[in-house]
Amino acid sequence: MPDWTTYVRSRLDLHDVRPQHEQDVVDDLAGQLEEAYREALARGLSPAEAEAAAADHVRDWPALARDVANSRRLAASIADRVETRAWDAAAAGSRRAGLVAGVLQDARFAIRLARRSPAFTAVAILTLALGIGANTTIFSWINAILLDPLPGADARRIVDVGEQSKTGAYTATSYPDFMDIRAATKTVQLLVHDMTAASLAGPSGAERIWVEIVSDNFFDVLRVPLVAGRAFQPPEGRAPIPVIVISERLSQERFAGRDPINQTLIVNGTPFTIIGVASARFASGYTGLIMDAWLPIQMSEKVMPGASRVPVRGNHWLNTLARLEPGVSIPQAAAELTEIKSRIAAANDGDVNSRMAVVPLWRSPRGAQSVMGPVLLVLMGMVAIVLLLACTNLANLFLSRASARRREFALRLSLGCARGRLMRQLLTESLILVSVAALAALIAQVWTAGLLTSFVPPNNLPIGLVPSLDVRVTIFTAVVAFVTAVLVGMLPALQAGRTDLAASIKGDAAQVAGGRRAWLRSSLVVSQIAFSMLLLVSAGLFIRSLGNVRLLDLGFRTDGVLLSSVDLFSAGYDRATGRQVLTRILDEIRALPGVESASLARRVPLGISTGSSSTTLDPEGYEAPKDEPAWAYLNWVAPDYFRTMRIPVLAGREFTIADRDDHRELFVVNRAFADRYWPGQNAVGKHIRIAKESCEVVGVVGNSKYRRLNEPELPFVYLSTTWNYRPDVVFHVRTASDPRQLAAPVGAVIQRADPALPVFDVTTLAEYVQAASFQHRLAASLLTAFGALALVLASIGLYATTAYSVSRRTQELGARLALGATRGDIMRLVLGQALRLSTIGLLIGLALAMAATQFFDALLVGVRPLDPVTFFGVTLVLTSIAVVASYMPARRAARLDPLQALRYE
Amino acid sequence: MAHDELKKGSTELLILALLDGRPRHGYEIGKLIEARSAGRLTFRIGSLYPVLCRLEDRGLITGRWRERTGERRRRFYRLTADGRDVLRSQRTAWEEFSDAVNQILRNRHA
Repeated sequence: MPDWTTYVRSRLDLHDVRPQHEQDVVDDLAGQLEEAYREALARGLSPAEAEAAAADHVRDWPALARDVANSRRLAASIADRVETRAWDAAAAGSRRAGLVAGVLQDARFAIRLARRSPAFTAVAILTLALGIGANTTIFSWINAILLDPLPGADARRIVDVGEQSKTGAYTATSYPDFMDIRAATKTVQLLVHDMTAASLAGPSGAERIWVEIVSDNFFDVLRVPLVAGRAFQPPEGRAPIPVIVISERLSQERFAGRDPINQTLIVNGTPFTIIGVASARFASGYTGLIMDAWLPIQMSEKVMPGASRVPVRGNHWLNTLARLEPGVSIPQAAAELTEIKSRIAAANDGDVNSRMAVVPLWRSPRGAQSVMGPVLLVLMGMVAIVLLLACTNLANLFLSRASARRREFALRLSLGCARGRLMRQLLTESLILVSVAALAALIAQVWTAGLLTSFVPPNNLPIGLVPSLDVRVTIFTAVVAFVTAVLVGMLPALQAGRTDLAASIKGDAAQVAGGRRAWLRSSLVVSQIAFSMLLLVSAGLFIRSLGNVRLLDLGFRTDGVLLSSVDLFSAGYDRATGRQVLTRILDEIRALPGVESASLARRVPLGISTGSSSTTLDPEGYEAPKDEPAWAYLNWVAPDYFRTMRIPVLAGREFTIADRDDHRELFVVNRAFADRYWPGQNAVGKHIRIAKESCEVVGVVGNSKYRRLNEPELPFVYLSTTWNYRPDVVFHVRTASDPRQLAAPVGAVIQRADPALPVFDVTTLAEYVQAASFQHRLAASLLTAFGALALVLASIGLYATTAYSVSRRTQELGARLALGATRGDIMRLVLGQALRLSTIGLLIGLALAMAATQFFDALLVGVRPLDPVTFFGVTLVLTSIAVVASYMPARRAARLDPLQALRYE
Repeated sequence: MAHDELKKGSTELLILALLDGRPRHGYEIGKLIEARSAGRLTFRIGSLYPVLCRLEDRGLITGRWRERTGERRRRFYRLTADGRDVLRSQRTAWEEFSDAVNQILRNRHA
């Protein structure tokens, strides 16, 4: 059989066709001729006749060569051909129907182009979806906590008002002060609130609910819509009237279908008349917390233990919010409120030096904003950088593709296509990719939103932080997507606009690839490495910080302690019966097998719900400076508390069971208290006066963390429950084995003492104090994830750029090899160039990180923002990644066959 | 042959029509035209091949190599989405055109 390939090749002169197409044309034609030949043989012709029949299929070889070349000469690839057609059609389209049709055409061809290279499209969309998704998620958290802190209310002009003493400490407000300021102010509408758990009687036993205690104008000032009934009215703010507003959820649960208005609910044994139902969209006046009902402050005595605080001007217990009147600025309101406050203080013997601090809700020093705000802002900065990284990677990919398409661009430009038109199409291409990615990000947000609550540690608060996909989040995502599309598409588009016609059409690779474009790519890689450095250093700092948190000496031992809470007040106990039942329960718990020691306390340290209870007091012999009275934090603890918590007793003794027979009240203080008020003296035996009573200090114990991990050492006074009855207490039970195994026996003891007494918040001390490291865990886990993502993106970027530059320089490298360069030389050349880029990136990143980490100082525990271990470690990791990423293309360069390389186009 | 001029104008349409539904390789297209026209239309490889190139160039068809062990690789052509659009409109145009031509021709005989 004749060799048809040779036959075709010898007759068809395809010097106008690109080499890879030439082979295709020859193979295709030879194949067809061979088939014609075989068929002729099959018809019974002799080999010679069959050959002649096949040969007759092409009579005019030069004409065929010309026809083929005419159709193929200009087309470099399938993508090019489609594109050229796309442009032709689009140009025609835009002439006919103007801009809209043109853009639609752009979109259609962009989609077709995307479908033609599924791998490229998938990588691009995935990268973008990760970047945009991270931004959408963190923004939805910020939205829920900082931007829309009171969903269901109109919170736009709501501000947080606090009394700030000269030392900077925030205090709450008393009800009489509130009523006076509210009557005097013209700049704001003031409201106060507090919250507590209560017991709601029901058909199947008591239910624990959360109630917000509010001033009568609460719903009006916040503009919360009621779905039924009315809000509180001024008379309910002046005298105790048993009325209640309930949540839509509670209404449906209790009165499914029936009208709840004027029905009665029994809260802590007191009947309340329902006057209104608040919209389900409204959770409470506390960001992230969900309340079941609202009561007037005048009724607080019925749901909160202790004597009524309502009429006491010296008792600062209410949190204040305010709505700015139209046209009033925050400084104006603060000045007016401070002025009114000093007038009231002067008239009532109060602290005339304190001022009223007014801040926007998102900067509130209390609640979710203060806990989450700083971490969320750091995270937002970081995800923005992740997206920037994704953009640079994509821009790089687009640039590579754009240079593969340069002939197409050049051809169109030479055919008269406006440069703007070409840029528009490139932008459309990136916009379509980004839109798909943004859509994916929005869909993913439904799942990632819940991630936030999974970081919230166990606690006893009614937390309901569910960031929703609202208009703001959607708009944010759209804007981010648009900016991303422009960033990704702009570079190649600008490049396309600058295409050098002559060089491109001639296919002069070196000329096109060199110069500006190479410089652009290099700067993309440099910025990627710099951003990765910043992200990884941040992640590293938070990881180290989290490690320190775990090792931090809290001043007490968290392992082996079970916590169980009861609330005797809402269960109807009075002081005498309450004291009795607590003593009985404690005695029985101590007798349980496996229990080393047991005690109870009003507060557990380091929980997110730990209230701050500080008081001014009068230590014996201490001369307080004029404007700064002595103060300390308080906790109420039972005998054996310090033994159970493993807080060391440094001097004197702790409270004991034998104290029950003593009729003198005793205090225990911590070392910070002793050092602060009695430096160099023996604290044991000294007296402290709190309110009107003066009591003796019997012991000094070690300092421990109380509210935050990085707090300074706070002066502390422990009061004994032996003399100070507290109805709301937490049992602390220490065991040598797993404390969880004690949960059931301890619960049984309490049930035996009173079957109607609910036990709640049963957990271990170790779990409970995790709340304190909440921010650190959130930041460390997310930053680690973002850092890893950044690392992957940067290494892909470096690899792609090095590989691309090797392929561009193949001829040059071949020439070097041919002229005697060793493979080692080539390797060093390529590696050296890649490493030079990464070193520049590392240096810039180092500077960036040094500047940025200063902002984290307040969030870090036991590690400085310029931690050398982190900086060195990250530099090492990035350098090794850079070496690996550039080694592969360098090795390929070193293995080039000089002959092939020289021929390479 | 009297067909020549007409044939030239309709080759593209014929190729598109034959590729509608399944991909075929180059020689097969020529043979099919011959078989389906009962031998009245014949194409040589030399005249069909440039048309294939042109169609592919315009994105109406696309060729893909298929390899089978022990055989020469063969290029199969199939219709693209654009090709399908063009085929649909050309088919209608052709039917209208040939109807019109037939009508005129018959009228003259009448």
